Amino acid sequence: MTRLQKTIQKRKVGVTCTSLVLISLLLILFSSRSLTIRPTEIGQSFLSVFQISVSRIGSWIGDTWNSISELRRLQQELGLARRRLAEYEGLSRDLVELRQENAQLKEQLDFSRTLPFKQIPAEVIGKDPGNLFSTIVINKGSSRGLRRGMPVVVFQRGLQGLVGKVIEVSLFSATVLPIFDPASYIAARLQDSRYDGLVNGSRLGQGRLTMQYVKKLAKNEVQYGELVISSGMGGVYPKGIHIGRVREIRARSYEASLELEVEPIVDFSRLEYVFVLDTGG
Amino acid sequence: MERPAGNLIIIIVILAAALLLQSTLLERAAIKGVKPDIVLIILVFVSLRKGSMAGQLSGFISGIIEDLLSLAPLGFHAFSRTLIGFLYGLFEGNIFLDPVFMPLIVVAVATIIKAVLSSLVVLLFSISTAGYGSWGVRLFIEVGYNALLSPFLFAFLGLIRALKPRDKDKM
Repeated sequence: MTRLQKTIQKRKVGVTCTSLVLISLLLILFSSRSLTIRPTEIGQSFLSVFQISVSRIGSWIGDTWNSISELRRLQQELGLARRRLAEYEGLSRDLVELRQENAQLKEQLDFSRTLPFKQIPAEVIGKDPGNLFSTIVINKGSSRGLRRGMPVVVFQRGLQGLVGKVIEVSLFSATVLPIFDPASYIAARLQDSRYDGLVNGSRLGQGRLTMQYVKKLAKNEVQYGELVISSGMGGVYPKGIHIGRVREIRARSYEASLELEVEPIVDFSRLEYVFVLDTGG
Repeated sequence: MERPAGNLIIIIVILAAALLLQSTLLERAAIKGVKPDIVLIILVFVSLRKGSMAGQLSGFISGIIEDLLSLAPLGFHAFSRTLIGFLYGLFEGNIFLDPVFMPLIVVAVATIIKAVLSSLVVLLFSISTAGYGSWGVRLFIEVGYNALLSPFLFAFLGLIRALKPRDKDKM
């Protein structure tokens, strides 16, 4: 046995640790997400099967548990409802109001039908396991025609809101980069004042977006609460999808443009079903 | 009879299951978007019980699996988890793990070490991430959340035969 072999044998733990740390650092250095065939996709295809299973088992247990507590609650409510029924029998229903509500709901439904793009509905099955990164995993993959770069939208509160874009596609699942991630950039426009800018995620978390490079001329025209939509430039996101509302306007004397703080339209904590748009790109 | 490879496989399976839970169900238990890092808690427990070799190997493999499930570049989590596994393994048999306070402390410190190492990698490789932002609320929540869960998880993990200390079943 040579001296080197003896040293390695003696310091086995330290040598292994150093090797693993070096491998990790090399992997970080060389893992580029622009390569055509990447180990992450193969790994994700395999792991997504387990993710789907755990998600479904969890939903089943959750639903069963909810059903039991729901039954208990329903029993209490039944008694209450019976008492109220006698009270409400005397009141006539306002048919006109109901019709109006019905028309509004129909309008929302038709809105999704009138979109010029093919929509692929998908369910959110997971999110990034850690707290440092923010990705969303959906249950449709290349087997359903999903490709990298496809925009993802959702219908919330009667508006079509932008969720993000597909960045990784495996056979049965896909990873979506949400608009609040610092790596996300969207060519945007203010809906009323028509000024252009660039919306990107903030390092401060999912409740904030920043719109940069808005001309200083816009300072007197931009309104708080004004809607920000995608401008369609750049070709990734189609034109006219709602991104958020202006919450703060920052005009610094030493900068040539305005910076707007935008609150996303989409409530990401309640995201369950999304639509992937096939823009044909 | 020694079965180090068998034990390591069991540890990896437990860590992989914890990762899947973290990416699916634990999302519902998030406080202000921050979920607990149960993989880190398990890794700390494994390292303190089984030593540096088992700690760094399980840290590296669980880190790579986490990288596959995440937007993180391959090796990002593997780096911090390998080092944490190694460091905590050095204290094998030297820390008396009482049911409550010691788990709280070791896990809180591990969370802070993870944050420091991750931030270092983010800076060195210019990785785009929201990270811990201003080093304020998010890190504070994660430290507290992990620490609070640690006594329960440590108690549960103590029941698993493959995670018994090495003097009984050498790894």
